[in-house]
Amino acid sequence: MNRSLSLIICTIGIALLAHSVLSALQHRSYLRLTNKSFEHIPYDIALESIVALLVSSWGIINLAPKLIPIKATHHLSKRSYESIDYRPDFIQFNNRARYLSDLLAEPCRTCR
Amino acid sequence: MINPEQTQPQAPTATIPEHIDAEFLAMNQKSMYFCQILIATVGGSVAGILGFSGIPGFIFYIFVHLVFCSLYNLKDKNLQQYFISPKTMWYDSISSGLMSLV
Repeated sequence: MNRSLSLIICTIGIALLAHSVLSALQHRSYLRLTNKSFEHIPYDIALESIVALLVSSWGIINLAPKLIPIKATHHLSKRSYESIDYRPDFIQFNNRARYLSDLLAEPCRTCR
Repeated sequence: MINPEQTQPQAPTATIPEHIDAEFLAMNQKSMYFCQILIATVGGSVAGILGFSGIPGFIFYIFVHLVFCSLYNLKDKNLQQYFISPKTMWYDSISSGLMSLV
């Protein structure tokens, strides 16, 4: 999923959560003004907060850094064999090309 | 004398063991913990709104954990290629998160 879209979903979820918090506070103040005892929160506020939890969870899960396959073969299959087997410490320059260079038409520059 | 009907013993196929990159595994775990912590934060505030504490709060904590696990499995269908054993996430992090609940 697109990252900006998941950010929007996350923001919508947090906004729903903030709205349910404000609604719950308003309900508490209403109860205090009318001298009623608090039994349970109204069901619409409870439903809204649970929907906010689900929406923001989905946004957060899509917002998280992308998962990478852990199999080593998945990454090594894209590299060429030369790049894996490149060992510059084992290159020898002291070889027979030094003596062959006299026979060649164009002398070897690296061996001289 | 070589018996023509005798066949050569075949080498067992797929003898190469699976190698796992620990660096990417740690990155995946970090990504999962990021989700888990943020969802637990939102779930804690929802529990505060609903007024849960004590035993109902513990039940709500398990509910939030199940919501996280199911949504995480819903997003990535094959978690097998991102984690060694993805099924442990259903019960592994309950015990570690329980300390913060108490």
